[in-house]
Amino acid sequence: MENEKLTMETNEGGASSLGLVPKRYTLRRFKKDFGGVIYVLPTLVGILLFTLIPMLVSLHYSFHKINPHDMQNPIGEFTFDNYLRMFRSNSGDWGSVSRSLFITFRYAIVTVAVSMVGSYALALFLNKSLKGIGAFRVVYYLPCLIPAVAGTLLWANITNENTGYINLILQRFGLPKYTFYTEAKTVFPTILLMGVFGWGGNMVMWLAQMKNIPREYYEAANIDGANKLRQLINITIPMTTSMVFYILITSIINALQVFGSYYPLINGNNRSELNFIVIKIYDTAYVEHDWAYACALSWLLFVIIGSLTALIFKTSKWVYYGDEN
Amino acid sequence: MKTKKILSILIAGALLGQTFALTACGDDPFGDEGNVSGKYNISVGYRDSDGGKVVLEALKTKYETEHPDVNIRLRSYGDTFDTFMNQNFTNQSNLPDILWMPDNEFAGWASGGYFLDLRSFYESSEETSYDLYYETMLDCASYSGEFKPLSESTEAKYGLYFAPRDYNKIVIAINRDLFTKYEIEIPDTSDGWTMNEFFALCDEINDKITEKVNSEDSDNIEATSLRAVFFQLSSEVVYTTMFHAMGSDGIVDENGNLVLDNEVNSKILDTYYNELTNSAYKLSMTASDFERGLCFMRCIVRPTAVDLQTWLHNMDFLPFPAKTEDGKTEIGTGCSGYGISAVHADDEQTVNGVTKKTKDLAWDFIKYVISEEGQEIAGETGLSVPVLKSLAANGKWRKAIGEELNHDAFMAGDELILDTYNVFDPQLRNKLRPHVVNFFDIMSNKKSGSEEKRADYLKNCVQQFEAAKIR
Repeated sequence: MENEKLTMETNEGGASSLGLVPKRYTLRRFKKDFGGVIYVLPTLVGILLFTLIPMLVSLHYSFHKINPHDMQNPIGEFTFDNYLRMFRSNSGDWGSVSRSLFITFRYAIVTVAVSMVGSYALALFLNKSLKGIGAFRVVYYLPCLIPAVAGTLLWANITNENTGYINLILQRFGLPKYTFYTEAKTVFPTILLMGVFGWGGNMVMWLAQMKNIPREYYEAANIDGANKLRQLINITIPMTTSMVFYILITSIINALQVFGSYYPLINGNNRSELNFIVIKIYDTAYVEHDWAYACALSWLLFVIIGSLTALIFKTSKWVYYGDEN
Repeated sequence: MKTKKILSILIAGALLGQTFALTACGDDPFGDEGNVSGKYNISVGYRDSDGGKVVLEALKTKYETEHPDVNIRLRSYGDTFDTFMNQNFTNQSNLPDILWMPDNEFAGWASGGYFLDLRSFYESSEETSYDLYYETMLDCASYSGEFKPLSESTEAKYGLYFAPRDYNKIVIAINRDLFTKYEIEIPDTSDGWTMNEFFALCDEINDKITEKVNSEDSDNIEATSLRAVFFQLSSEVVYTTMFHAMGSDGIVDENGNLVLDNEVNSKILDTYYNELTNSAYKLSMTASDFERGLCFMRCIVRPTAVDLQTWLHNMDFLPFPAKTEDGKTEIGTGCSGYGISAVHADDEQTVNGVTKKTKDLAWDFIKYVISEEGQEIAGETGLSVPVLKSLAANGKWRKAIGEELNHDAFMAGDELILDTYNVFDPQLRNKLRPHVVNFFDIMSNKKSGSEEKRADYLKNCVQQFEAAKIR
C-alpha cells in the first residue's frame, strides 16, 4: 500500500490522480500477482514452445534455401526464391498455388455464406417456443460432436459410389448412382451437402444471442404493427450483428485452414477439387519434404488470413454491441 | 494465504512438468538409452514394416554371443527411411550408427555425405570379396547405379553406401485353394511366361468368377468379392518389369523426360487398361484381399511372403510374367541393406583400455550380416533371400516358409535393375517418384484409366514431374 501511495505521489499533475498514468510495477505488486502468473505460466510456455518459436523458425526457413540432403550445409543461403516461386508461372508453382487458392477461397466464400444463412434460419426456427423444440436442437447439434476426421470417414462410407447407403437407396428407386467424392465434378456439391450437418455449431451460437434480445422490443414492434419480416430485419438481425461478426471471422479462418475433413478423401480422381491450400502445404512438407517452400506457403496463408481479418475488423462499424457510452 | 500459494506453485509445477513430459514424447529414439557401460555400443535403426526387426534381432543375438563386449541397440525409425532422414537433418546427432535403407531411397542422402563409402571396408578382407555377391545388387548400393572398385575409380558416385543384405525379386503369389475350387489350372512357368499369358490367365479367372456370380449356387454373392490379381502397378518394381517385358525402353528417356505417351508406352497402358482394369473381377485394389482369401494372385517381394503364411497356408509362388518376345526373362530386382552413418563414424569408444572407432565397430557387425553365417540367420527368418550367390541354391531361406514351395520363383530369370530415375540428380529422385506413383494409381482406376481420360492425368503428372525437377 505504501509503495502504491509513493507511486501516486511521484507522478506529475492531475493525470495520475485520475488513474491515467500507469502505476509503477513494484515488487509487492508482483508478489500479489505471483499466484496468477504461476497459473498462466504453463499456457505461456506452451504458446512460446509450440507456437511462437516454431513460427519464428518457419519464418527463418522460408527465407533460406534448404537442402536436407546436404549434410554439411542443410540450411543454405538467404533467398527470396521460396516466395517468388509460388508466383512464377514459368518454372514456378503458380499454376498449382493459384488452383489451391481458388478452390480454398471458393470453399470459404460459398460454405461460410451458406452455413451462416442456413444456420441462422435454423436458429430462427428453433427459437420458437414449441413443444419438443429441445429435441430438435439436440438433433441438429449432435453431428458437431463427431470429430472431423471420423465424420469424414463416416460420410465417405455412406457416400461410397458402389457400397454406400445413399447409392443403394437411389438404386432401389431406380435412380442412377451419384459419384459424390469419387469424381472431381461432384466433389464440390457433395461438400456443400455434407456441410449441412455442421450447421448445428453455429446454430447454438445464434440461439444464445437471440435469447438475449429483450422481449420488450418485439412487444413494442407488435404494438406498432410491424410484421415478422420487419421484426427480423429491424430487430433480430441488428441485435445479433456481434455474433454475425464473431461467426464470420471464425468461419472464414476455419474455412481457409480446411484440412482434416477432406485429407483422408483425396485420391487421384478428386485431387484437383480437394487440394486446398493447407493440404498443399502439408503435402509439400511431409510428402515432398520441401520444407522451406512449405514454410513460405504457410506464411502466405498467414498473411492472407491476417489481412482478411484486419479488413473485416476495419469495416465492422455495422456491428452492434449493445448500448455503449 | 500461505497454503494457497504453496498449492498454486504445486499445481503450476505439475502443469509445467506435464508440458515438458509431452515434449519428451518426441525425444530422439537414438540417444544413449539402452547403452551398456563396459561394452562397445552400436545403435541400429530399422524400418517398422517388412520384418526388419525380426531379422536384426536374430542377428544381434548371435553376434552378441560371439562378441560379448559389444551391445547392439535396435531402434525403429518408423515406416519410411526418407521421412526419418527428413525429420532429422537439423538434428543429425539423432542418427543411429547403422541404418537399414532401401535401394530406392538412399541415393540423395548418400550423395549429400550422410553415409560412408564402404568400398575400403569391403576391400580390406577376402571374406567380403565383391565376387561373393550379386554384382547387380552392389550396383544398387551406388548412387550412380553402377558400382566400381576403388582400383577402377575413387569417385564418390561409384561408391557403396550400404551393404546389400538381400536379393529382392518380385514374384507372383498364388492362392492354390481358389485355383482348385474354381478348377483353373496353375500355369507351368518353369520356362518363364509372358504378360500375354498372364492376362489370359486373368481372363480365365474373370470368366469363372462371372459364371459363379450368375449361378444359383449358395456362394454366388460371396463370389462378387473375388478378384483375379492385386497387381499394384504403382510399385516401381512392378511397372519397371511390366513395361520392360512388353517391349518398352522405360518410362523416362535419357534426357529425363517422362515418355508415358510415346507409341510403345501408350500401347502398353492401353493393353493394361483393356486387359486388367476394365473388367469386373480382375484387378483388386486392396493388398489385404489376397490375405483374406479373396484374390487369386498378388505381386509380392520376399518379406511380405512370410506375413501371407499366417493368413493363408495353401499358397505358392510363380515367377513374375516377364518373358519377352525374344525369350529373355528379366525381372525387377532390388535390395536393401545397412549403411554406416557418417555423423558418428569417427567417434571413439574405449572398453578395457582398447579404443575403437564407431565406424570399425559398425562395419564388423555389417560384415557379420553379409557373411555366410549372418545370411543364413537372416534367411532362416524367411524374410530375406541371401545376397550371397553361394546360398542361392540351397540356403536355409528355402526351408523357412515351406520347403515344398516354389522358391525358384525368387531366382527366376535375370535381374532387371530399377534404374528409371538414375538419369536424375540423386537428390531429386525421391521427389519425382510420387508423381509417377500417382499417375499409375489413377491408371488402375476403371473410371480414369481409359485412353480418353488418360491425357488429362498425364498432362498433370508431367507438369508436376517437371516442377519437381526444378526445385
